[in-house]
Amino acid sequence: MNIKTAFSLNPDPQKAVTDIQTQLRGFDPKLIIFFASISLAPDEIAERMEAAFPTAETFGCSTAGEITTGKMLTKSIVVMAFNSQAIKDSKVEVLEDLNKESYRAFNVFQRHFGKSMKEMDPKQYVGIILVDGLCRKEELIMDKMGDLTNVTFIGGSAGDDLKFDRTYVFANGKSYNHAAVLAILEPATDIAFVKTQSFRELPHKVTVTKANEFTREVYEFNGKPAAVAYAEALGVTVEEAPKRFMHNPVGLVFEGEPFVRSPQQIKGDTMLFYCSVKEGMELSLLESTDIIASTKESLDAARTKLGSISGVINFNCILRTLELNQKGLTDEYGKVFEGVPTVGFSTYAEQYIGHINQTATLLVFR
Amino acid sequence: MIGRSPQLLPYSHTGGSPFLTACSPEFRAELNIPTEGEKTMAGKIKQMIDTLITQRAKDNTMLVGIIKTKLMLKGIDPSKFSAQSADDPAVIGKLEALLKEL
Repeated sequence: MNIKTAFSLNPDPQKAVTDIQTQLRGFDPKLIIFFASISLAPDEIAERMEAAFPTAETFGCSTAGEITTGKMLTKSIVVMAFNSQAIKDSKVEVLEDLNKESYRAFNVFQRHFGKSMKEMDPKQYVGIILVDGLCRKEELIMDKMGDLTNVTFIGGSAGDDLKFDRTYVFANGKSYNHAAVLAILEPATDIAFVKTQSFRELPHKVTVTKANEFTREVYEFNGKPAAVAYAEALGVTVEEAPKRFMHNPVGLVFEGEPFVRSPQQIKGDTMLFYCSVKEGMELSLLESTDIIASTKESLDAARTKLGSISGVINFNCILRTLELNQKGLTDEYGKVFEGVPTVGFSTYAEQYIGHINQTATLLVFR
Repeated sequence: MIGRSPQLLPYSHTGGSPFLTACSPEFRAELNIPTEGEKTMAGKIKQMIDTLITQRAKDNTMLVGIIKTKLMLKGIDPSKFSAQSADDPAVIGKLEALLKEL
């Protein structure tokens, strides 16, 4: 077994990390990714994880809930460890100031791997991104990285148990705010990317005619006040519209694949989203379907493609977790990943090629 | 066709031809010479998108879809542009910036 998982529900960071060490005894990790509840002091958990596994690079972030093999948890730390048979090479780097360019991190990657990010073969390397979930910079980062490299980045926005106060990313013993952690991996095995969002496209479309993509606000759809146009498309009043946000977000649909943009709130006639929306974009109204069934289907498709699965990293939107909670389905969702070494967390948003909402993005290892 | 070669037609030092300007649209079409209106070069966006995809994706067919998705997320839908599409300076500007990265 080249990928191993562990978790602890101990509320004391020192005891939690000792618990993890015990579970991973005898395993020689090269790389460790971990996701920790905000209830575990971030500085301490980052420092203790680094100290506990001195032969490995460690990185991770804070969460709005954790996922491990067969379970959805809260107030825990979940860990996935890779040995050198699973990961040939890796490098973790921090973007400490999200207002600045990402070139420095890419220079570090270039020095480590001996080739520029432009030259890196996307069939050989994969990127993981964990980013401050309150920074509202995810689109800019993903856009810029997408211009600079063909390496595919997948990941999630850090959470803080729905406090919306402060989220953290961790790398090599430290915790950071308003930062992002980038990791480039050279897997020793085949991988697959899964983007699964449980929605069907409805016939109604809205065109963004006025918006501020930086504040994630849409002022007008189809030349009308945004809230009015959204409510009309659903056949409800503006007052009722917020109750439909979770079940009827909108999406940028490309070749049948929706990239979900979830509404957050209505302010006057303006709609605020959890994701940037650009003027001129044509968005489809979406309708939610069965999260369990569609996630299982996507995972099965990945298993068929790869032949087998030895590990899954699951970046699962908190909005999906909330819906699962409402319907009493968190145990059933956890069971989708039973028997498959899994680590993940409930994110404030997800990344795969770009920035998206109400989606689970999964990195699957054969 | 009249039987005259276009190279024999007089051109002014400014690059234009008073003779051609006076010609009928039918004659210009026979010589495959664009009209003043056509000189805004419709189809430039599609050309740039195709170049970007070819240069970035090279032989990797999986990358074609990813590059098109990146363009969609930038607000540029590749399927909406053809050889006849009017050129939008804002879109051209974004594509020029991307092509510079190559």
